[in-house]
Amino acid sequence: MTGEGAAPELSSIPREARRFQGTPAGIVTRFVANSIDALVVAVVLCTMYLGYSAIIFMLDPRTFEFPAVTFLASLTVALVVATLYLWLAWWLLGRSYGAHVMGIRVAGRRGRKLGPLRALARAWFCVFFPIGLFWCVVSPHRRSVQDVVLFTSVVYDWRPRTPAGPDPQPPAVGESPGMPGAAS
Amino acid sequence: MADAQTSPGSRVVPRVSPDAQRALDVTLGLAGMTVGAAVVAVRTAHRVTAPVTRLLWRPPLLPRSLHPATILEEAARTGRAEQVALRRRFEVLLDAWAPVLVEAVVERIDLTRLVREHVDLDALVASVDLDAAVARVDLDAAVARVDLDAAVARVDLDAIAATLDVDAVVARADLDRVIARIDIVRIVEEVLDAIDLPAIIRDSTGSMASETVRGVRMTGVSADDALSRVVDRALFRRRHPERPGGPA
Repeated sequence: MTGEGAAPELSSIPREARRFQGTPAGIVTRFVANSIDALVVAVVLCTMYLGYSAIIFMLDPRTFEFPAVTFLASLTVALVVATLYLWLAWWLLGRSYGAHVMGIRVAGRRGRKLGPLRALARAWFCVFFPIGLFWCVVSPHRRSVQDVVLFTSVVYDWRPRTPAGPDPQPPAVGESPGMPGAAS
Repeated sequence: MADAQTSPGSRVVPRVSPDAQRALDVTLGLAGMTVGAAVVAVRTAHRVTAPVTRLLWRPPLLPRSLHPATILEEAARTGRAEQVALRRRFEVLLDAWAPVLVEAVVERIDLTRLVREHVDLDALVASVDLDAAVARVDLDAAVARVDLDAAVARVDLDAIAATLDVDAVVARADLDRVIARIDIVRIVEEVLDAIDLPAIIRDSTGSMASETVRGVRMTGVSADDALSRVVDRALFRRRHPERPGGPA
């Protein structure tokens, strides 16, 4: 009654989806997740721009004009925001919003969440080298360039919360697939 | 001299005639006088001959070891010792021969028939206080000496169980009373604690558990699998077992 030992675990995951939980995610799922994350970053950037404009409007409404933004500045801010977003998401939650929607998460060794340094390195790597994601198409273990370099993986995990301990089927980084998380 | 008269109750009552009675009294009187005279004579003779007898038993001129009294006492002592020795020897012989003799006798006798015909066993057993006898028996010690495991191992419990009418047993059982003794509320609480039902409900009813999201995810998984299959075929590569569609 107390569920000790090998008591069967009840799960809210659909029966047809249980067999691939913990296995490496493929390019389609990861690309869709990355696209959702890109939209999230775009929404954040728009919000920041509108907020910045509102502040300028409140300071001097009579001469208000929408601030001109250069491409370089926009790109720089976008890269920084994306890096911060992915870093915090992978470090604190194990998955970004896009990964959450698609039911995947970024895992380190033994299926655990990434540490802050590795999460930051992976976020920076994915933002500045997004093409590395596509290496998971030909990788036998579905690992992107970022996964190979940083010993990470991206696995299917439909559970809403990231487990604190090892995965039920831990995808050992050296031998299992992976691909940069919800994002790359 | 004496007649016998039969009474109505067939008891014989002797009847003595007066002459005979008188003769009998005279005879007894003479006998008494004779005995009294004899006693007086003996006492007198003893009193007269006592010094002589003492001299004969203990002659003063002879050493004590040669006195007739001493010799006779010694003979009596020797005889007594011989008697004790003989008795011991007889007992030894009896111990040696009695079992042999009894065995030889018992072999020739059907004791069972003898006891059955001549002993009232019912009366014998009825006179025994079996309760007192059982009360004196240390049943715990007796049971402790029994190898119950070996005894039970020889029992064919399967065969015994096969003869049980379980349906009848269950039909006689008062299941309502059994269920009434079960603390269902506590069991349910333990189950809920073990399975974390609130978390499952949250997971199942969350926004990410909708059919749309589930369909998108399953579509993504299928697309991943299809694309991996194409790539594997193009690269002449076997499917990896870790992938969802890979071999088990």
